[in-house]
Amino acid sequence: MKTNLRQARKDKGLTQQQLADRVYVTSRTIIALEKEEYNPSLMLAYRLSLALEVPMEELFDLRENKEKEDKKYEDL
Amino acid sequence: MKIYSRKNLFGGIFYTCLALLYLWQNRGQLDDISPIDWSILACVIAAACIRFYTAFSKKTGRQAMIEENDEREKLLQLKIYRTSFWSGSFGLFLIGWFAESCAGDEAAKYVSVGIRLSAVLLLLLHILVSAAYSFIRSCRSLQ
Repeated sequence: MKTNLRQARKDKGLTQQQLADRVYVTSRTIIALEKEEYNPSLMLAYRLSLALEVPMEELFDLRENKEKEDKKYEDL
Repeated sequence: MKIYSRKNLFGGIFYTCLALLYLWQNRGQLDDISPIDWSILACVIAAACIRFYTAFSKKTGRQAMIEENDEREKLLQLKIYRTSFWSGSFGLFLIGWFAESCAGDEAAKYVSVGIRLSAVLLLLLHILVSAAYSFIRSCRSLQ
């Protein structure tokens, strides 16, 4: 899933470890999220949104990701 | 006293049991234990202390707790368990098949059949546990 996590984190001036400490996960999880290799749980997404002060919809590009997924199913 | 990391607590208990087992095995002849064995025992006791300290210390336990409850790590572990289970069962079956083809006498053939049978039993056990787990879950969701 496409995310704006890296940009939002840099805008906030946080390191990956600092963000990880704020949302109670390991820095490896933050790296995986930024590399778009892992989709977070709803709670983690909410925590990240609060920590970075960015709406969830914007942080995880939910509209764009939904449209992409919709298209994938419509093409079936 | 609050437990911050169960994993480290169990690790501490394990190392303590290991040290106690060693002492129990050598009861009555503690004077004859070689310095190398004493140093190994000291290392095991030190490991147990470190584990207990990490399990109960707020400062170090926090990181251990985060590591334990990290959702991605849990998912990864589940994937590793699944992969290792299937590759292990398949490997066991292959070893049994290979052992049978190389077996020289009757006894070796029985061993190879036993290995293959254990692979099949492992799969059956897996199916049984999965079915029981899904049954319990469906019962719980009905409540």
